[in-house]
Amino acid sequence: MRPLRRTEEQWGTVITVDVHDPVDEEVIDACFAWFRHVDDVFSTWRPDTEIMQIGRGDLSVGDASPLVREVLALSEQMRLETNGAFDISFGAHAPIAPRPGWAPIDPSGVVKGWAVARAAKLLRGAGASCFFVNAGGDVLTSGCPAGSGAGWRVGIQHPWERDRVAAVVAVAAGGAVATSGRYERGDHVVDPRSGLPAVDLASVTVIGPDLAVADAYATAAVVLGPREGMQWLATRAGYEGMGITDDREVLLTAGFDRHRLS
Amino acid sequence: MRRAVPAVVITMIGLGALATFKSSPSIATKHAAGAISPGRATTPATGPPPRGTGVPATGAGPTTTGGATRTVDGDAVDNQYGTVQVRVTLLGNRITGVTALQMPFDRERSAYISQQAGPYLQQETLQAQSAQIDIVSGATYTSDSYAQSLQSALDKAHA
Repeated sequence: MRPLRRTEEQWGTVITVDVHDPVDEEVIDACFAWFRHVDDVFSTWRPDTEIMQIGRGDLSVGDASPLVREVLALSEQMRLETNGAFDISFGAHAPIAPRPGWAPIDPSGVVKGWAVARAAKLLRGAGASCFFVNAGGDVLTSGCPAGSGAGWRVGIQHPWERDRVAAVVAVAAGGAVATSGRYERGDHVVDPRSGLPAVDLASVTVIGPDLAVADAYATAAVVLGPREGMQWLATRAGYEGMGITDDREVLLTAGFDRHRLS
Repeated sequence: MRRAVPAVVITMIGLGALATFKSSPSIATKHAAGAISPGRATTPATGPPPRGTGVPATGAGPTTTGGATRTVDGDAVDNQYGTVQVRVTLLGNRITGVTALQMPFDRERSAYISQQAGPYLQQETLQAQSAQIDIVSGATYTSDSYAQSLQSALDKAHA
C-alpha cells in the first residue's frame, strides 16, 4: 500500500511522519497537534511559554506542568551522564547570548526526541507498527518497511556536501538515529562548561533505542571532541556512534559497523 | 575560515574502543565493477571532485528490473552562497542516486577538504551514492534550509 506521509513546519524545522500501515489519517492529525502543543509549552522563541516563565523565575519547577517536569528531569539526567557537556541551563550563566533563540533554560536538545517518542506512542495506539518520524534530522523508526529484512535504511547527511550522505545504516527494532553537527546552523554547538564553540568534530551520529538520549549523547560528543567524545560514547550501553572530524576522519564506536549496510 | 587540526589525526591512533573505518575489499570490488560512477571513483585526493554537472547518475543505477527508474528535481533554493538544487534518481520508491543540479560552494573550503581528505570519508560518500535510502538523519535544519535537504527530496518523491 501507499505510505501515509505528511510533512509540516514545526519548531523552526520540518517534521515528517510516514506510516506504512493502514491507519486512520486522524492519528497523523493528532501527532501534529501534539507537536504544536509541545511548541506552545517549550518554545524559547516566545515569552509566554512555560519554559520561558521558568527561565525568568516567574514559575517554579514545582508548579510547572507534568510535561515540563518530565523534560527537566530527563535533561538533568543527561547533564549528569555527560558530566555537564550537555546542559540546558547553560544560557542562565552564559556571558553572551550564544545563539538566536537564547533562553536561560533551553531543553530543545531533548524535547524534540522526547516529543517524537510520544508521537510514536500515539501511532502505535492507532494500530501502526511500521513507520518513521523525522524531526529536522532526528529519526525515530518502528518496524520494518515492506520488503526490507534489515530495517529502515537511514542515510547520514554528509557534513559539507548537501547532495551526499556520509554513510548508510540499517535501523530495526524501533531504533532511533540522531545527528548533531556544526554545519547546519553555523558553529552553534557551544561547550556549556566553557562557553566556547565546540571544535574538531563536524558531526556526530548516534544510534540507539531512545531518540532524546541519542540526541543528547550526540550533542555531548560534539562538545567533548573527537578523542574524549567518541571514547565516552563507546561507554554508553545500547548506543553506537559515528563521528566525522573537520579533517574528514570517520570515527566509529566498536558496534557501529553492525548497523552499516554493505 | 577553517583551521587545520593535524594533531587530531595522530591522537586517533591510540583509541582502544574506537575503530577508524577502512573500506573493505568487498567495497573496493564494487567500485571496480562499476557499481558507481567511474568519474567519482577515480577522484584523486589532490583536487576537488567533479560536482554540479547536472548529469544524472545513469551509470550508477541498479540493474534489477521491476519498478521504473525516475528522477525528481528538488526546488531551486537561494541562500547566501547562491542557488542549490538537487536531483534524486529513484527505482520505485528507493533512492538510487543523487546529483547536484546547482550547488554553489565556498571554493576555498571545497579545495581545502579535498586536499586534506584521508581516504575514509571520500570512499564513504562514493559507497553511499549507490545505496538505497528511506530516511536522512542530519543536524537539525531550519525550515528555510529544509528545501535543500535530502529529506525534502525524499518527501517530494513520496508525496
